[in-house]
Amino acid sequence: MLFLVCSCQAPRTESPLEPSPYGLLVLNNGNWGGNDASLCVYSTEDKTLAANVFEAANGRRPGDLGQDMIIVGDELYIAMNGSQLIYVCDRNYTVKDELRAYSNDIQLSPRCLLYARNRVYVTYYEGYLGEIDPDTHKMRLCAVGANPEGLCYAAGKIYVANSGGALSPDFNNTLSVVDPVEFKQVSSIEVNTNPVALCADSAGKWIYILSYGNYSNIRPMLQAYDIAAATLSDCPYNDVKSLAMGPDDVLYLACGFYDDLWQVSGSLYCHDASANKPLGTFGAENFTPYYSLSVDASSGEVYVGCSDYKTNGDVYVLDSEGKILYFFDCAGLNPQKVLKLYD
Amino acid sequence: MHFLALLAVLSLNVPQQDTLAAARSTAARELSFNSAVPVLYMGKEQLQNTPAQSLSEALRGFSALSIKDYGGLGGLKTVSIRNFGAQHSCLVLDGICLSDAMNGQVDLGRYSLDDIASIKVEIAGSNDIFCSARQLSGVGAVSINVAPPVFEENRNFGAGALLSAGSFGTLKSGLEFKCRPFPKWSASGSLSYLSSEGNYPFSIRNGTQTQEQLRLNSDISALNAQLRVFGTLPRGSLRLCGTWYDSSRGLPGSVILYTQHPSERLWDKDLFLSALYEGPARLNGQMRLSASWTSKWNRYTNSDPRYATPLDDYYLQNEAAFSGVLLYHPWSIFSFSIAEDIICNALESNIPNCIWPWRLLSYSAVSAKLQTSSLSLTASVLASLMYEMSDRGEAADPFAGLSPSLSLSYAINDNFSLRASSKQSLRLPTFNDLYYPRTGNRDLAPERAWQNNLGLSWSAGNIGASADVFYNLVKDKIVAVPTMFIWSMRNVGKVQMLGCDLALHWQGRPLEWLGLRADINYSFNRAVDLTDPSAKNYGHQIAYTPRHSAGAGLQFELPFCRLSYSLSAVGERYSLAQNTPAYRMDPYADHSLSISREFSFGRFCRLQLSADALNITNINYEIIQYYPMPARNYRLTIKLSY
Repeated sequence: MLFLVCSCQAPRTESPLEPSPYGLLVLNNGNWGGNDASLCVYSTEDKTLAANVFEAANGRRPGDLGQDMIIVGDELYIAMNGSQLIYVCDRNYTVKDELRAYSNDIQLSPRCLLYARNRVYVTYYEGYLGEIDPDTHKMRLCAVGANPEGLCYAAGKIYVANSGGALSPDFNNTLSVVDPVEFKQVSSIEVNTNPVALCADSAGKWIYILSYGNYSNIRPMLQAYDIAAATLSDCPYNDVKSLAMGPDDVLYLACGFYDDLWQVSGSLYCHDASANKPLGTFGAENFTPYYSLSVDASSGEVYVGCSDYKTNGDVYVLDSEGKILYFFDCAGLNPQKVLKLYD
Repeated sequence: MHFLALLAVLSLNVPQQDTLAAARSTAARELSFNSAVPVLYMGKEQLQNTPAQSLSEALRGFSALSIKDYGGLGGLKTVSIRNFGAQHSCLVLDGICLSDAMNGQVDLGRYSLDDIASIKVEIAGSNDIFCSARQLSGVGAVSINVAPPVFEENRNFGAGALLSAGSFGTLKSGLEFKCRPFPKWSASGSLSYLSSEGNYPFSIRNGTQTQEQLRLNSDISALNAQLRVFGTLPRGSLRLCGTWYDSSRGLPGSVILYTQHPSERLWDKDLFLSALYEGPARLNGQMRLSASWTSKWNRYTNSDPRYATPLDDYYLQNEAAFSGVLLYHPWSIFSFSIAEDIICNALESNIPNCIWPWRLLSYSAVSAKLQTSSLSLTASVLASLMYEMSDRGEAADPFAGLSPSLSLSYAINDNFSLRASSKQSLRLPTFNDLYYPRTGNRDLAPERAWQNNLGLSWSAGNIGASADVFYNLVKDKIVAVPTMFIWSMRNVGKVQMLGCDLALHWQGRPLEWLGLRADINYSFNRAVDLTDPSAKNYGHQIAYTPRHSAGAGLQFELPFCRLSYSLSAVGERYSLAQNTPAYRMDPYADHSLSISREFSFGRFCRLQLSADALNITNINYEIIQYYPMPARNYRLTIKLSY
């Protein structure tokens, strides 16, 4: 059953619907330089969308490029890459704190967030990893490789994907291994060119590395790194665009291909992260134009964001079997991440 | 200094030369009335009296044109005719087409009005078949004309100096000269230097809050030198032109909420040389031959800390262009022309994977015109050939295409004239479209435009009006689209435009001591995206295209000074393809005032004082979203000529 809710006619300054405590929280990335990142809440109970909940709560927009968000306890962390800050919001999306990081008087641009070891970790595109104490919101930094993107925690270490995305065509091809106690890089691992996303299995045996290659002769690749054996192997997928970890060590992958109109379409696959084995396709649907993938680690619901970068995106909600439950217009550009809200 | 105080200072009672003769036809009205295509015109008199000091400021008075302006003196300024996009516009300086093969758009910001005698914009074709083939290639042409120097009485020399100071640390100084060393040869030249801190304050609305900030990294310094030689030959005339432009500027970038760390700079060094010969041809024909050389060197740096080493890129474009046109009048009512342009472009750069492309372009046109006392019928066919080469990589395939055009005007009586035109044109892909590392696409085809115009002109004495309706289509639009992992240029997109342009002109002397000239124009343009019926933006107004826009100019000639007012008003637009309230941009109106006065000392020495107050309503409107324009600002200019 499909539901289409469009709240796109609501002006930004108008109070949106009250966000539901049961629903889906969507972070819209927005356009580069457009200051149009936004948060919306889709109520799974009454099938309505509360648009621009951040602006409604704070009287101002979140800013430029909403890159990532995570919920830690009663707090929501939102990494704003373009606006170079991290918001810490309460359950009503009211800003409690704004975290800005500097190194040598240079303001840093947050990318991806991770919660591990009772700490919030954040990569900064200028080449740093940050560690935030959720109680005090105090932060410390350590240097990693160039233009870090995704990160994960496994076997007592933080792994950071150093993309070198701003060094094109000389992309980076390493993971930084950071000791979280000493909080410094202790080693690095060579992987395929331009690593951008990482996931680890629950046992801390495998790290899965998504790299985009050099957009030319080096192809995108999913690789599995055996931590104990310190070996790297290639996984049998083509043009992986996104990955997200679900419950029971199931790694969800979105692989891209072109449709008849040269639009990018995404099809989903599952991978057994604990055994490093493909589990086959997930559902029968292709998603066009594909943009992002999120998975709720508790329920196994899968959220696929679709966007053409010029109109409001759509979020498709799939059950754990891969069947589309419904979809909705997310009242913003480029749905970057979806989180399921629990009371 | 406050503007009213300046007005008082300038109100000293010194007689002023009357330049607004009552009830006389102007070139503007004549051009519009008899034209088979819509024509916009500003003569020397208007240009001198308008508050505008640069070409981009002057063109904003025409509602049929949209000027993209990224704000500040250093911000990129381009002109788009009826919202086709700047790459469809042809900019012509003294009969020579200017171009930029790398990105397809010429920055208007560097052209001041100091040397310009007139500006003429022709839309959907040209009345004049004695023009270069390249000039027919766009959806219209913006022609900047520079007149040969005029000498008073028996003088053979003249000189001038200019000093202008404005808000935000803006200072411009210049010297100019003219001479006539031989009876049939004259020359003029100018040298000017502009510097501006450009750090203007602006306010930006963010939800229910308004934030006050200062524009950073918006400075510019620019040197502009020009030399022109005009010669009369035994058979024909010759014009030689050389210009040098050297600038350094900061690029402030878009305003990013909660942070502001602009890190980009741009340097330009442009050389332009041209020679244009016009004279008789065999068989009682006329010919015009021209050759030009353009070198554009740009350096771009970005010290953003995200780059491990700061970006330091340079680009060098060279263009050699040759143009010839032959015009014949076999019968009094019939004429035809043959025109050929050969252009060679080359680009080199230090950016990784740049293939240093070469381009050979040929434009060939055949035009014919039937002209009676009441009817004018013009037909043209333009053939475009493009051949690309590169020693360092794969070049795009050759391209050939034909673009026909047809226009007619019919004078119904002494007061009414009807016109109709239809024109096809091609926007060739630029070097950036084809070869820019990663995003370029060698398989691009040209963007296709089809224009249809129907217009009516009315003229009676010193008043004239015109109304044009148009229907335009753009197919195979060249746009950046997201592909598997990166963006790429593709031919996707279809846009339909339906609109009208209205213009009213009046010039007269309502009171003995008051001369008045009024120009008012309005444009409506419903430009909608028809690319994909299933898309959310299907049928939506395309981005940055107002439905409504208007311009007005009022020039008062008073006994003690000249006063002028200009208005550029633009209705709501959307910054994104989908027209949602989140991306709606507010309408704006830019009102500017100018007052000037000329003092004479002796027979030849003149001092002109002028004061301009720009954007007097003090609103930081935006033409490009998050690139705020300066609010109210002032300019005081002293010009001495001898």
